[in-house]
Amino acid sequence: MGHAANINFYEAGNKGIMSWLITLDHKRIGLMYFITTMMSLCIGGIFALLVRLELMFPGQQFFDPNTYNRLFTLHGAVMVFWFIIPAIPGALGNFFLPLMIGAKDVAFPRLNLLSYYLLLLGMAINLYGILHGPGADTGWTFYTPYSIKTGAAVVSMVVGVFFMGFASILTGLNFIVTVHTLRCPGLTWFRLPLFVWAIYSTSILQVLATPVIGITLILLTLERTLGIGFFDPKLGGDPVLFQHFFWFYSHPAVYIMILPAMGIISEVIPTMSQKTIFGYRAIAYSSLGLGLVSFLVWGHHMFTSGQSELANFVFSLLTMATAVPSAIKMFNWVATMYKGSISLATPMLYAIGFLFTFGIGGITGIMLGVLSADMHFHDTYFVVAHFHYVMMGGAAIALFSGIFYWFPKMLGRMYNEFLGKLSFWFFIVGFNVTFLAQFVAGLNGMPRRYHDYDSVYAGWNLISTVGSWGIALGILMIIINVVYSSFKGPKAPANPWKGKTLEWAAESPPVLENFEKTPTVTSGPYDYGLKA
Amino acid sequence: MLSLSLNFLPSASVSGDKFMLYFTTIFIIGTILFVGTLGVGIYFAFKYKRKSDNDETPYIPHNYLVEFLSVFGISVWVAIFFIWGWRDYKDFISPKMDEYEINVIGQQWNWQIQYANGKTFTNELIVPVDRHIHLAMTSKDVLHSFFIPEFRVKMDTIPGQYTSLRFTPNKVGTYTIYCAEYCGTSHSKMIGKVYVLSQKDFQDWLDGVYQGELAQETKPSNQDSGNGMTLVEAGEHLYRSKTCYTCHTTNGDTLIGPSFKGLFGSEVELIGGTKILADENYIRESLMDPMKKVVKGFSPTMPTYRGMLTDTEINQIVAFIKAKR
Amino acid sequence: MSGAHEHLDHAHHFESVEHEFEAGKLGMWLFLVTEVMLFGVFFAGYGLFHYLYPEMFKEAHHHLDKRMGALNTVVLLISSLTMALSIAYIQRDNVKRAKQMLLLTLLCAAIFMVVKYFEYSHKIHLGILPGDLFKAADFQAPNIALFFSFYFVMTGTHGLHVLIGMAAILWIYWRMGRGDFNSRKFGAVEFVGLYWHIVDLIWIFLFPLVYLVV
Repeated sequence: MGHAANINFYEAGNKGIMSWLITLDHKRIGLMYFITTMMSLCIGGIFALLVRLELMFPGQQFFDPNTYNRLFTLHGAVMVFWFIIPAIPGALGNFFLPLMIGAKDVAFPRLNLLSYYLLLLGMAINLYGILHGPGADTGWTFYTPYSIKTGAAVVSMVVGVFFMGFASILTGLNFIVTVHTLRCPGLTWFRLPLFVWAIYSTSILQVLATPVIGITLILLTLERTLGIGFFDPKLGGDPVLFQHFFWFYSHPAVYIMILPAMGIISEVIPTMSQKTIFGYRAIAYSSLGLGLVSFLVWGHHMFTSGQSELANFVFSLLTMATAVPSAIKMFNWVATMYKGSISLATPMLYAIGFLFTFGIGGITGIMLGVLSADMHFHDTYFVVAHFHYVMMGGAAIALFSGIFYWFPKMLGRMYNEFLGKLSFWFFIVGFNVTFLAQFVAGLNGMPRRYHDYDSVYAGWNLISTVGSWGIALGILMIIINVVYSSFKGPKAPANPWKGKTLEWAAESPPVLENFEKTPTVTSGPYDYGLKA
Repeated sequence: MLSLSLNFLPSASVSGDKFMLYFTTIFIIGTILFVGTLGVGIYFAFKYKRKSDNDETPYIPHNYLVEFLSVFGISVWVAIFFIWGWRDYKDFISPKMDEYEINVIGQQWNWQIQYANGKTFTNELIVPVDRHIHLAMTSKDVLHSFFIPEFRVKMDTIPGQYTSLRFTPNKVGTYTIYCAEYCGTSHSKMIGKVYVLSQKDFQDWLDGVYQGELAQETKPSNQDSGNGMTLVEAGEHLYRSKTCYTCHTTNGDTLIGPSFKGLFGSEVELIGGTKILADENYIRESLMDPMKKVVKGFSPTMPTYRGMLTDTEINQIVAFIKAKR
Repeated sequence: MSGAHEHLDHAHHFESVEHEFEAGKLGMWLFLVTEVMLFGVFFAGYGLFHYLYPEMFKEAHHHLDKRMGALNTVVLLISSLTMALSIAYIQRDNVKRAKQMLLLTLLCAAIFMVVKYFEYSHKIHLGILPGDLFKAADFQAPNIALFFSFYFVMTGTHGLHVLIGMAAILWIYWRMGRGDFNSRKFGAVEFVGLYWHIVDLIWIFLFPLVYLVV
């Protein structure tokens, strides 16, 4: 025997910091992603708090306009590229995808480690631009021609994003191959846990869409260094072409962020309700469907960019169509709870919180997809509030739900339930206060990316700023809970939630190659309440 | 005093009124749907709260009737709102009879607003009530977006291209212009005012006899404003000084290039057979890149005027060609 | 399996060499998809500006050397053949021939790069450079630098791929010499071959689009 039974992956094999830095174990890589992305969340969150502080009252408070412009750019870029895109696939996907399909590892462990270091490289390049230069001030969208003309450090930002994009592509590629080739015996496609379906759909998007943003950002770099003119109207280029390329990636990127989140919710709700998922195939297919449609709706970010009527018609129609699969998922999650045995432990609280905030995000999304209404809403705080409801209220809440749900499996210890519930209430109240206020400001015409605003918006902005402190406290409690419980939490059993997916069949924490013996699957992933 | 009312922004245009009706409807229906779905979810969370560790749960993998009805319901709901939104939008962007045209140039960080009579204002737009207004807009430097919240309309301005913004104000008053597309340091200071005057006051204002406060507030910009000429006059001046007349007549005769008579708004056939509408964008394009879309029957010999004409001068030439239609 | 068969190495999370090969192949195909998306951006942009500035493209076009482009097309096609032959030989355990074919592939790639070098240096000599560096004076159409920016960016990116391909071929040549591959285990050779074919295929699209279509 190479290693004795019941030695978990923390203790098996080599020890010391180097054994982590050059590890090929998907679980260790997943944990490194976890630590990295949670740090990114804190950095992005600090930028967010500073932005909200500046906007607390009308007029200039703490930062001049140039500093403010850099702050909101860094907030957006850090949250999108450092946190939300890598967080769920990188941390939870890496750790649990192989476990859930009964594999020993991902298909290409070395590539997996390379992805992680490409992410770090991208972050380092960005940090260099932030610390040793003026930072970028373009907004995370880098719209031309402003991004060509500005004196700020755009190149270090976009080159960093290029490398992070590479990391994202390789992660997606790795997961697709893993799902195709490493499922354990008996695990057919329609016995896959829905989290696996979601990560699989996400991976397709990562592979197909990310190369487009990568090369577009390289072209922007060449535009700034050589003046190649593709996007510069002074040289005959077309600035709107940049928007097309940018959103061709960045709209699917929204689904790169939200699909894994939906996957987590599809795990947490059936297990915590001890009831089989309602409409398994509908949820699985709607993940794929949303992924495909997401490639055809990028133009809804450009309704007021002078795009042709026909294009606006088609993009608006397809955008509205995405409401259908999203609504199917909402209904199915609620229906799953019907006649369940529902535990309101922290993961489930966050999952219900997800239904609440994602519901608001979805309905306001329909409002924005409507052409006539978007003429007013576009580039106002209504849009800002909407995408925070989807990104933060969707992706981040689901991530928190997943962290608490899988915490016993990852760390082998239980988190603190009281602190977990407290963090939920701080987060959910703070979040809704912050962004409902922004909906009102946007409905009344407050444009986004404003350093200063008319005093009619003062009340709602003050409320929004106060709310942001609630979010900060909630996240702080999550981090304290995770750090404290990692060392001091009580030992966790292998299956604290009585889950039926394969990761619960492994030890907590799992052994080096996940299972003592390769498992064989004979039934669906959520067969709760099924009489034998 | 802090205002916390939910809907404090008045509507002052036809599209504003349509937006209000639309939004109110979708908000109410959306709220019902949201409260319905989430209410059921939260009710379930309490009703079916775990009683013991060995609760029995039924096995309900699907229910095709419920699933079909919910998909069908959502589809119908979405389709209705899509069609409604499309109709309002169509009405908003379509050119209308008897539009009053004004040119807008966005630049970091103000709006240049040019009237047919040659007057140019900075950040101040004066329009008559109950008339269709058409803003032909462009930008000098980076993207901007001309946004009038009270009218519920906006459109980006793009360097090197014209975009159109249309609205019909229906309430006399003073409203706000914002820049809605991020454009750099003073993005949030790129703010202007719209004065909607009664039709009589507007005519008085055009004639220079308006006595209201407004007359003092407007500050004509001295920047390439055409020395007191109207746009058409200034355009005619350019037509002579740039010697356009050596190739383009205004009486219908054909020289080296097409005549300007009846050109604007007509459909012209290009070399290669495609037909295109001779609009503002086409004329601008022909000045900048004359080789790009050459009218059938003419040789591509016109030199480019890129870098030799300001945006204002292009507006003047467009106005001149328009006047000859 | 007979005991005479040598031990075949495969990563321990796979069941067999064949299993590992299957995974590697799927991964390689997915990687090729990303390459297609990357060049898709160039083709989309090129198509748009070709539509916007037909006259300018026509004029710029006359300054590209079609014979050199055609020569390079032939060279790359031959290299694809030799690459495929190398895989065929290693599948028959003919390491010697497989190595020879890899060398021929490398030779073709080198010829391609040398031709490219002459094309580039001629243009640079005339002041035809991308973007701001463009100095040539004898052009009529405005914004003609835009065309040459496309030319350099597209052929440059492709050339970079050829160089990466050459490095990869050298790497498997070295491994082949070490005896890493045989008729049961030849994954890396096949994957580099797939990559080489896509580099070739992209040129097959790039050449007519940039050099020939007016």
